[in-house]
Amino acid sequence: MGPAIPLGAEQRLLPEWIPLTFFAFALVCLPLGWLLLFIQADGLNDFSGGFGPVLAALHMFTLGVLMTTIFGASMQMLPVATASDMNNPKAVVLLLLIALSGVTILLGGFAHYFSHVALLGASLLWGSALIYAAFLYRILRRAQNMALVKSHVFLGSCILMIISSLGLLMVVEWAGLYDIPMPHPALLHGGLALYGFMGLMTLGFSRIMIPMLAVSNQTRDKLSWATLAITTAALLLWIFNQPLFALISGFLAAGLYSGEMFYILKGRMRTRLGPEWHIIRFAWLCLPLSLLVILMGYLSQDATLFIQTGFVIAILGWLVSFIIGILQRIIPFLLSMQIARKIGMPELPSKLTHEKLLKVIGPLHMCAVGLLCMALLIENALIIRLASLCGLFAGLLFLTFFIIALQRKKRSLETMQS
Amino acid sequence: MNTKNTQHELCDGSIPENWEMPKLGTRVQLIAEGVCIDFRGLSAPAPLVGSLKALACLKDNQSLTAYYPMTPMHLFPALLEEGWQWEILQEDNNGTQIRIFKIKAHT
Repeated sequence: MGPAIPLGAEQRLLPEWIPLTFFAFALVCLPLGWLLLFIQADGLNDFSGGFGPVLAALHMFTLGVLMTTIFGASMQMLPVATASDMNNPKAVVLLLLIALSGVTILLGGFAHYFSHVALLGASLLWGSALIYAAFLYRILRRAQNMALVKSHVFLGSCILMIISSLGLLMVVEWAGLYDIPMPHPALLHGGLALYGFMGLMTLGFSRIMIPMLAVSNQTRDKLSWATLAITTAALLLWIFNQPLFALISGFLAAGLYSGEMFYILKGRMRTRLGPEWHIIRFAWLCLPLSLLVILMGYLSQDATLFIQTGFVIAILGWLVSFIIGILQRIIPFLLSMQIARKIGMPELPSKLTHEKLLKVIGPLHMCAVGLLCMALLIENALIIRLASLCGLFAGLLFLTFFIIALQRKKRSLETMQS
Repeated sequence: MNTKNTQHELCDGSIPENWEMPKLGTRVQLIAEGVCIDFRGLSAPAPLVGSLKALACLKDNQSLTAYYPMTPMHLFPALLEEGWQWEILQEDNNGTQIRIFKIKAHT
């Protein structure tokens, strides 16, 4: 008798280095993205689309941080949550290699204006999206009783194929090989990527992660279904070039989602919440705010300024903040489970967590996002640099947190084995 | 599933106190050692959240015997954080049966 975990359980866990490589790549991209913004502060103020280093900086966050984290988390967490067998680790390694090399090559192509290099990267990313969607489909087909999460993930993976195809076509057009017959493919791509693929994944995973981390059973399934229906309608309106109606319905869905998340949190069993919840709450507020700012852009004369700021709030304020908050809890948890996998007994996640760093990372990141938005609205490159420095420090500290957790895990393993 | 030969009776509503999980209402039973809950057929995160909420309601000398659809990987680190001990009673294709208890009460 003792705190042992049966060996059969490990059938649903990937070898630890696979999800950790996805996360490590994301955590390296986070400070790199801020560093690129610091260097490109002048360019960011004038940015209104187009290829180049500013686009590379933005995609450092969207592809480097967000996409790779979503890929890694879903490959690891979905089989555990849905009781499905995990995907073949060799196939997941293939996904890892294609996705990470695709991101690196694409961003290199963007930053140095090498359209054919970017084309190679975009092709690799399209291939990784296809493999990922196939993996998701395989997991979802075997999953039981998770209709809500399954619907979010399925819809998100469909949109992933649309945006990766559209992204590839835009790079093909940039390389002078094809003309896309539509007026604003970048806006369509950006909106669907943020609020479609990444948004739906975030909404879906929130239904598992938030009640689990806060220990709350206070969920509202009907409200969540309504949110999904309105989100789907908003995405369709965005696809069919009805931005005003899309944004209004998107704002409504975002409000319902954020409201439900706060409602779940209110019904929690844990009275004391860790510092990661500050940044998660901040992310929930930034989602509707981002849509409101984009909506203001469509209603005002200076559309570019507001749309650009709204997209930045969505990327850095909502999605990156949410992922920073969730990873702060998930990384020690995952490492604890991996210790259990090796010796049959988990380590306390709190022993793997550097709490003092967590108290700094969140506020620094939130400060960076706030300053950056203010700088964009008043078009001040100096404040963009100041914001980037705050973000850079937050990113570096988060990377340090990750490395310390790995070191503590190694020490715990040695102690527990001896 | 071959489970332990334990006499189950419907929960009379007094244990656990302040029970606020309508989804689990009919799945909760009183047994001699404490509470038994069948989480099979429920999706994540209900088994994890339900377990932790039930454990919070137990008295010192009581334990929770729970049936899970599969080994609850996410639960173990959380149990450790809360100072709970566990033993795997049964594991087969129909699920996993686990008893969760406080170390002091059983040593």
